[in-house]
Amino acid sequence: MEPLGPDLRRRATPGDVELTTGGDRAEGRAARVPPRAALNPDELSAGAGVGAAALAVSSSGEVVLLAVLLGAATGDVLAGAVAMLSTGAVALRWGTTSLEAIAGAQSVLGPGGAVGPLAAAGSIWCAAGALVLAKARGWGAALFGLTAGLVVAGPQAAALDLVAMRGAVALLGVALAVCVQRRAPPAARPMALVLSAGAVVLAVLA
Amino acid sequence: MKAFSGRRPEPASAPVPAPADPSIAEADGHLESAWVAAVAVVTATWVAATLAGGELPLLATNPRGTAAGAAAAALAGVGWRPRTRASALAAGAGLILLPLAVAAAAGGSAVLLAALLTATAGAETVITQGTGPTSGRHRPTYALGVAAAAASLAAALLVERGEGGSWSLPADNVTAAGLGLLTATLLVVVATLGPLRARPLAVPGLLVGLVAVTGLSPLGASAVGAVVASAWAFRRPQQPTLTLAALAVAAAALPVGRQPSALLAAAAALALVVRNPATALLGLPGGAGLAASLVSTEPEPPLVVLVVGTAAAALVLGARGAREPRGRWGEGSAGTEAIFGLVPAGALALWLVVSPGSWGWTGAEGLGDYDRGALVATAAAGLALVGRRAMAVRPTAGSPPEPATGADAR
Repeated sequence: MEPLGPDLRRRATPGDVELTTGGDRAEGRAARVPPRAALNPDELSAGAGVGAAALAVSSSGEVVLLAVLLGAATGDVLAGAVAMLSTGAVALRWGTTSLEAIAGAQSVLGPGGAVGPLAAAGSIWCAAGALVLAKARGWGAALFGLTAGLVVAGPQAAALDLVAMRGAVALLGVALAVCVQRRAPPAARPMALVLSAGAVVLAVLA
Repeated sequence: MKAFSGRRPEPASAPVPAPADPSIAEADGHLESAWVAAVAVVTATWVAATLAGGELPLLATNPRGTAAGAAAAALAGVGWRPRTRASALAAGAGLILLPLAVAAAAGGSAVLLAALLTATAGAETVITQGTGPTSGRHRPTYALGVAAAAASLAAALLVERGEGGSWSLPADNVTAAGLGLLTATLLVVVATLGPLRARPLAVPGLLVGLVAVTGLSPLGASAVGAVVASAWAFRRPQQPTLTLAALAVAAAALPVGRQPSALLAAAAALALVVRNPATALLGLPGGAGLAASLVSTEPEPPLVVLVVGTAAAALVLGARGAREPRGRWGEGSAGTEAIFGLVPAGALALWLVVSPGSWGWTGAEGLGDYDRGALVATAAAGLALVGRRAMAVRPTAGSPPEPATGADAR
């Protein structure tokens, strides 16, 4: 029989019980706590992705929230940085961080990629291109593509033909992003970062 | 083997003998109950003082905002289970008297607040220098930090009194403001890095920092705060408290950043309780408020510096967090802390992230869009996760056995 561990009779102190997130401490004190019905990282990423898609399609919320959810959905730092810079450029171009206000502006003025000063439209296209080229992991690529399409064409439309057009652009964005994820060389990712930074610069100049 | 721990492990200590007498264990249980009740009184006092309205001259910038962070931070004490009767009484008295002093000082003077801050710091010092079973070799350092904080606060008040004829913060001159900021820094650092029982010190630290920074140059305060936040995020991503606190204090230096600073301070206090890298997300509402200010107003250099610093800190925290092995939320927590510490703090954290617009009593405004988006995202994510789990449910023991397919034989 093996000897008992050190003082297993006493009650655990707060210093003993730690928030362990590593999986290689199975024999530690904290690891003996039976796991509760908690969320694992994959579920958190999936939830973040669905939440981001809901924000992008419904045009509700803030661009900061959308960027963080996009980053959390992919678990990729570079993709998160691209999302942050791209959505920031969109906010600077429209002068608001509210997705609802941005959608309203596009409903009135037209798709973001087709109206405004040249620098503003270029900023939108750069942001969309960066999102497509980010090569987000897994189904995150489709999410980034969807966001890119909605950034260019806008998520809301009053007439049926506009709905069809904007839906088609969103689907095109998804297709492009998935294609880039599978076929583009790794150099596309740094280029996405440069493009997103350029989008911010153009938005400021506009 | 390397395992990430959200909490910095306490230094090696001598094992505690098991209580041989059942009456001792019973006394411990009473102490715990008394402690929880004391912290509940603290929190209730804070909330009552906040909701009672009126202007608190000590917290002239945003009394309700700072009180919101303090009320959230009061829960920090719940996570501490005192080991001795004396420490429980000392710390409990300090924690209860501090907010009462703030409420009583609403008439004008900061002397009472300063005295109580010092008393609280002294109580904490005595506790941290005690010979309890969780004593560590760094305790004198932390005690020195607390003493220095008390001294710098006293010096700041004396300078303010000499220059402006008032005992009140915010400081009207740079020297007093700088001393106040030093006080805040020391208290928050000790609360973050020191013993677990020093966590409530973050309350006066954030309180003083948010008020004192208004006397400093916005550009300088923002730059320093942004740099500190980014550097700290890189160095200790598992403890986002200092990052959030630095950003909160830096934001308070800007006129347009006062409201986001209250949310960031509340986030810092809650992150101190939960102690998980993911609690950096608590800074999301404050960050959104800063971004909205940057986009909707004429861009000022300090605000640009602060927003860029916030973004850099967020990226660094995300980058380091992505490299760390990740586990399940709430895993490894048990006992008193899980029940009385993590659950209330977790509920407050969820409230802060999902619906910061309802924190209007902190002075937070213009977050209606954020609220709507957070609700939509939460609902969609919740439905997706429920569906995913429902599809992944395995047959229970009562279910009829699946027919044999012959695959086992192969």
